[in-house]
Amino acid sequence: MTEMQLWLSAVEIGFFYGIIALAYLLILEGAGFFNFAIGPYAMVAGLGSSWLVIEKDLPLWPAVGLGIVMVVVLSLVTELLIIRPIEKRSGGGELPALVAVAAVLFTIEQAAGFLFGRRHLPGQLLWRFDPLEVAGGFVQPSAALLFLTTPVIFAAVWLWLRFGGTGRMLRAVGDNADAAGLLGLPVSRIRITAFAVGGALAAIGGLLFAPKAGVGFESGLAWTLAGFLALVIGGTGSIVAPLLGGLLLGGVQVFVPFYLGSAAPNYVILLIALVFFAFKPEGLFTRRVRA
Amino acid sequence: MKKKYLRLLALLMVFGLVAAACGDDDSGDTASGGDSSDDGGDAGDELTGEPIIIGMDLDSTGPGASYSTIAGDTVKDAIDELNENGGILGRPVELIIENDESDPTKTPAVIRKLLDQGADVLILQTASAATIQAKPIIQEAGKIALAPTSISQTLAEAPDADFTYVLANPISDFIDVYCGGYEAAGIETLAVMSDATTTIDGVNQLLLPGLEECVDIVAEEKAEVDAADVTAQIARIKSSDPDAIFVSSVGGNFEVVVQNTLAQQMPDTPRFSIASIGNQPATWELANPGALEGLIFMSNLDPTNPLTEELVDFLAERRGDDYVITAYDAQAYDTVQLIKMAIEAAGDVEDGEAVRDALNEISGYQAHFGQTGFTLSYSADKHVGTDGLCGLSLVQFGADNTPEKPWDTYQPPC
Repeated sequence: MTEMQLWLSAVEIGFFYGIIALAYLLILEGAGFFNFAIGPYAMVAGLGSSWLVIEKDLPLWPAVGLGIVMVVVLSLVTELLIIRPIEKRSGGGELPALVAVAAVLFTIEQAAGFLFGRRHLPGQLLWRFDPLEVAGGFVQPSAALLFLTTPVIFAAVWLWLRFGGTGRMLRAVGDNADAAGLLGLPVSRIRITAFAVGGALAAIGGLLFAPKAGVGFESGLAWTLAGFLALVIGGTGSIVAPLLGGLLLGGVQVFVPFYLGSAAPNYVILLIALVFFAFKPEGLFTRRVRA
Repeated sequence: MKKKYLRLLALLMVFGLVAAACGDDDSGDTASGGDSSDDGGDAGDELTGEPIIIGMDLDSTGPGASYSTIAGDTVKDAIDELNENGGILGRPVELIIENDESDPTKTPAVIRKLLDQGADVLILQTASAATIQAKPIIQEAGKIALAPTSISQTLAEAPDADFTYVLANPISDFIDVYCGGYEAAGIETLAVMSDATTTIDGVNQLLLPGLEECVDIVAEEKAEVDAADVTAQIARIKSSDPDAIFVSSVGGNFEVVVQNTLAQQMPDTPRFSIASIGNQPATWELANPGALEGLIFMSNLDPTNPLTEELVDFLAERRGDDYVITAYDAQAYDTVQLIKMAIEAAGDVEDGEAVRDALNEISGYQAHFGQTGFTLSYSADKHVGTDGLCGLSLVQFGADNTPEKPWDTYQPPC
């Protein structure tokens, strides 16, 4: 029983980190930019929808829809009003925009605290049923939804990038924005699409994970770091890479404290991060380029 | 690519520092400026004379915020009430607030700042570990400092405790009550699940050795206070097969995550908790349906106490009929009343030693928490106010995730 529960928890956490990392990857592919505001986006969706339901008595699904819309708008605002003008002013320099997005991260957190309150709210259950018993472990409704939705999300994104017109252009822009521009691809529109889809993915991730432990205005930073680390571990060479990185990280967070004690995960995660930064910065999956 | 990741790592580290800085600035400025002007302004409009300044270290953000904000709000209401009824010695009372974020390393600077702003009296509504760091500064300043909700007797014990006081039953009393309960329930082995805050570290250092006198602690697990998953820790606890589980936390979301997991993984094992979750109504709704059922926690409230009923009415008047009173409200309210009594008895607030001596003379003060007739008394040698165990009771949660009834198996002798 215990063993199965640990696996279920690891997969649940891993799937969430995987979705967040996928949101990073899409924006990285489409805009060549690490958007560190992804975690706060997820927080806004989870916290905002809960606030609308609990404090404003809005029905669940309109609240969820508004949560996603809020985040997509936030993501677009980040691109159009912050990142793009700064990149333009700095001649395409990445660091000024990264510093600006760090400020965006904290601005969103504080604004969410101001708007939605500074206390944790329970995430909204999108699907209600009694916990399922699976091989001696228990699956909560929120976890079941995450288990079902995550593969669908990854499959949909894979199909979109592989066969969708915009998706294929997104990969081309990510590979070389200048060349894509010279070829007449609508780089600006592709970037906007990347931010919109990335934001929507972060919102869905936040909505699905919030019921596990509630969500507060400060949840975003931890989610940003976890998603980034999942992407570093998984790499950027494949759509499944973020999922693999997320699952590895989820496994560490669950199995390391079980076998080595409560203090160990922080050290192990730090060690993994250092190993990847030092020896495999491209992550586990690298893109193969034909010669 | 490697260089890029290293640069990003460095940037993320900077993020962390910025986060800490943001927290400081935001919380400190908001609490101090907003609150002091509100409360002081109202007071000054109706009363004359130099205001008596009460400085409060309120960790309105940080791990202790889940309970401190409750007490902090009641301190403000109690001071408003004082000002509406003639202030203290006919002078208005002004409240100034700073926030140490439950961080003991920040507490000395926060206390110093309150004193520099002219605080005549201090209220330490912050984590126990943080209050202890304030002792030398308070001793040097010679101003009385009361900790409404602290259960750490260390604050009230030498060294540097001539001016520091606590109201709630200390941990030594908790040990007596828990041990009485474990004995009555036939519990011989106990597993402990804690959060990793400095506050709970400090509490556990005093509490667990005492509990080991009556039960065998077979597992001790810990997780970060913002943990989203404690399955591994609960699995380890389960493998130790304890008769009961004790959760030691500052409450809030951490305790909810733990109780959700325990309810799922170990539904038949009795669960006990320190006072936090029982006094945080806002956190009850975070728990899964029925997840708190059967949980026994240390309560300081007896709804049949007439003084508690009075306070319920007072708070309902100011916050609405649906407000759920907690022990933190009562302890905060009593703190303000004790300060008033001490200053009025001293006849002056500028002489800190006179105020302290007057506080040391207070005896048999009828508290708004605890069972009917429960009193607080102080003396030069007794800076923990509680007169006996009647300030405590063990209360059990019902199926609707709200405290339901006193625990049938055991109640502390009164």
